[in-house]
Amino acid sequence: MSTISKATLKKMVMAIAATRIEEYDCDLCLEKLEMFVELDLLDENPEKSYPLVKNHLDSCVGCSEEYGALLDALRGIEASAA
Amino acid sequence: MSTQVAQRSNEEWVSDLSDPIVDQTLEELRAILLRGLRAALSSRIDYDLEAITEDFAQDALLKILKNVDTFRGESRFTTWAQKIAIHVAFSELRRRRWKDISLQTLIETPDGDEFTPKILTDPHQSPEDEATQNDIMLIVERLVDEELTERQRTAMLAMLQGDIPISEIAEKMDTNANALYKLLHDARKRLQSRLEEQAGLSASELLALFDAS
Repeated sequence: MSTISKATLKKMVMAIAATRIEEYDCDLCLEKLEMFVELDLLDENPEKSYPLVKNHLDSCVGCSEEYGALLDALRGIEASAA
Repeated sequence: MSTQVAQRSNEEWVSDLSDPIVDQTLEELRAILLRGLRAALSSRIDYDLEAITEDFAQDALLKILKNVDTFRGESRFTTWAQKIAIHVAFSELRRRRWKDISLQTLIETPDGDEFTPKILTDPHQSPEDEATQNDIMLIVERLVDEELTERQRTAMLAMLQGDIPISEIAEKMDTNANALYKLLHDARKRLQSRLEEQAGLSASELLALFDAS
């Protein structure tokens, strides 16, 4: 059995402690992502309207990466239109 | 008469991209997706952006046309479409990135964060808090061995130690991302309950203790 490093154990504690009874899986998060990102671009507290999306993004590296990329994509389009 | 892209309503997008498709609208959407993909990928990949973004945009357009009747109008159409394009792109990029790497290799490879007091000790953290953290981590280490199946343990370590996206872990474990997410969610809920009992701290107290460091 491999040893788990202290850094990984710390991440595990955080992941376990942050667990909610109800969570979104990746499909559900992706379904709401465009609404979340539009509120984010308007600085309108998306985490308040979509707390379960925020919770998922905080723990899912794949979805979090796509969210960051979508923000960059939309900002890039806005910048080129300006 | 074509509506300027900036003024096109969601209804117009959906109408033009439903059968029969208006070619000019399709090409305008392609151009938008390409601009977005280039903006998103230019800082993230270091190979031929032009060719790869064209491929991703084309795949995304096919998916958008197939699913245009699922658009619910809760955002701008172009945001929804861009989301699909990003998802298509990153699904493929992840597949390429992780395809030749085995889970076992990643789990067995130290993540470079072996215990070193200098790196992991926060000078602002009290010795009591650090001792409590160490006790809790020992409890978690034991619970992971006692409470999780081998499958759950492998998946959890791959996610947290290897930072591997869940879709890729699922692929390597012959399952799908949502099923694996549920497996891990169930595991985390059980571990949370056991940890609270044995540490004598609530979940929010645990978060506060570890967030502060």
